[in-house]
Amino acid sequence: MASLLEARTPGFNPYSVKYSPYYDSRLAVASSSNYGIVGNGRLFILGLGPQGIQIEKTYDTNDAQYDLAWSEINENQCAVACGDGSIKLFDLNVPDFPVMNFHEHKRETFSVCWNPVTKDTFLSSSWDGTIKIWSPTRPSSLKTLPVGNCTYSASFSPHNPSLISSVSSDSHLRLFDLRTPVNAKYHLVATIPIHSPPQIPGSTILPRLANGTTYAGTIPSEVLTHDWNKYSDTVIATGGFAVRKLQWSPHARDVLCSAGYDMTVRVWSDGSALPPQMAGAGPGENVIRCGQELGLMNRHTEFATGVDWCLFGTGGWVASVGWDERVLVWDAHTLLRR
Amino acid sequence: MADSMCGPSNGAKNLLAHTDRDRTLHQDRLVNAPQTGPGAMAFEGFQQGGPVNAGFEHGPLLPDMNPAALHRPPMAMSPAPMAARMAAEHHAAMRLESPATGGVGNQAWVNEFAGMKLGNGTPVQAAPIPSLAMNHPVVQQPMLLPTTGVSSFAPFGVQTGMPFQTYQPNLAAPIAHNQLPGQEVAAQVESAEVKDAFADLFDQYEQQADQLTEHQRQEQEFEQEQAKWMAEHGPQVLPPTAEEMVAINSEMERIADEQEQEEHARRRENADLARAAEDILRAVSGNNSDKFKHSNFLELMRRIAAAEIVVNEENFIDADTGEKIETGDLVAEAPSDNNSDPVAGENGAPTAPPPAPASA
Repeated sequence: MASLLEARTPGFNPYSVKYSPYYDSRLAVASSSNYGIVGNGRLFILGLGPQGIQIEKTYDTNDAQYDLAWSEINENQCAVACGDGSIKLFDLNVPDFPVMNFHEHKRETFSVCWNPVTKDTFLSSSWDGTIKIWSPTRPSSLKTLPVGNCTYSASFSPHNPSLISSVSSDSHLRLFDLRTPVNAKYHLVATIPIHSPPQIPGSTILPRLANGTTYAGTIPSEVLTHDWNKYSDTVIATGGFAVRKLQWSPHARDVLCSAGYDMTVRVWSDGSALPPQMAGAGPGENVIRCGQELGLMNRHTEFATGVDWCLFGTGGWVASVGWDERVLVWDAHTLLRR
Repeated sequence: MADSMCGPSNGAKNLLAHTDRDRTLHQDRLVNAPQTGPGAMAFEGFQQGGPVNAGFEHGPLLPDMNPAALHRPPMAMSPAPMAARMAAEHHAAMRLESPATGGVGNQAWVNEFAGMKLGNGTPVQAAPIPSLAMNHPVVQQPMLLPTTGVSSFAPFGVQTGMPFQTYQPNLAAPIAHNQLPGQEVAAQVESAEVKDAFADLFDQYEQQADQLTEHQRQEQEFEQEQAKWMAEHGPQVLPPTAEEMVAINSEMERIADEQEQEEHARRRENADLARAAEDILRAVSGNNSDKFKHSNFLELMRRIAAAEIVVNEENFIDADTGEKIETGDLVAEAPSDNNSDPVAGENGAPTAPPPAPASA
């Protein structure tokens, strides 16, 4: 098989791509016409076979589609976040129309995530500043978590079904724990400023990076994406401006992939597998390790908006989408071997 | 008659006169003979005496040879006089040529005639005339010809050669009208079928006519109702009163305000979009790579910022022409891809063959 497969989504600009958690040969792509500014959306169900990537099914929606999540309990179902604030659940055995429609958000729904542990719920985040938790069998939401800002991304922890994280336009990462009682904070247990330097209690010393420079933080900006590390329950990667989507590898604990507005898809190492490079770091000193770019995929000709790792096989296959109306499936090993 | 007074102008007139004479000479033969019509008189001369007559008079083979059976409606028999006339001429000519003319027992002539062959050598009985009468075994026997009246001359007319061939079309009609029992039944069946077919057609026509009438009635009813409604709610002939004018003006102003507000909202949305496009262009202004130069999205942003493209309902349209814009075709040339590596890292990715794809 060639190391790069390509499919087109004519007339629609993809926003998100996800591998099926059940089949290594099935992909879903959420897309929008006119870059999501005006017009409809279309969900593409793609199959990988000897003939390359084939479009197996499509589902149209009246508004743009910004994200999708495969069901963890039904291999044929897929939830799609739509620009009209709804989440639509499609079943591949039912043509043309969704089997469920969840519509409570007041503005665009920008992300959906299925609970990977209990598998019986999924969540959505919206520009209306809320996160909602849903059951696929109930049209009304089970719970609403307020954020107060445009929430571009929300996710269940892969380690605990009660932990929910989100990133938003206020440059913060929020952590919700559903095990806590509903109080004034609505399960909010942590708010982390992303672009500020980490603080050590009782210390005003700025942390240093592993390359020896001092890190004073960056200008706060919108945070568009984040993902839990599958192997470390305390590590979350976030992506600010120019990073539209990032995804930790399900096969290597230190590898992640990002798709960005520079029209590239990059593979990174977080540096945890590399030996310490900073000399002179004293005990207890707050040193931030530096990541390393492992490779760059430069085939997209418009903004790269979605990326996902294949859960199966040798662990190097990546699917990426961009506004160039293309879906690319490629082997990241060709980058990792540099 | 005028013809007789003027004298014969051709041989056919002579023959006609002869047959007239011949017919008058044998009136006594008609005592027991069935009268099938005027033509029956014409060939009495062929049947004087002998076994032919005997066979004819006792004619057991012709159960339907009675006047009632041979009777035909006037319309159906209308060609018969002419056919009989021609048949008479035919027989008269034959008799002139025959040595048995005027003889008493002309069985020899009959036999000779029966042995006659057409130009192509076909025996009389085998003459392939596509006539119901010809297919009947009785009709195929010359001695019985008189009993069938005019129709019996059909074989002669056909079989006696060129001089009378021209009469065949005229003889065909009487043949068709004088049918034997089986043919009679068939004709009746056919007639019934034809009647049924015509009845069906008439029924269809009447139904169509009824439908058309119903349609016209509905049209008229609709027009009447429409005229009635227009009379009540339509524009009045009289000019609106002052109160009505106030209401009309108020309504027109309300509609104009709504349209103006919609137009303002559309302009405001397009202005916001243009500002957002400018922000995007400003954010990527530092990147001068070919990808950004040839980006369809960035080209769209440039045109939106320049107010060349605006949003109208669910589409992008050209601000000047109003034509729908295909956002995927704004840039004619895509950036050239000079990198031969399938996955193509900017810094040069290895070209080693990839590992096996994920297994199912």
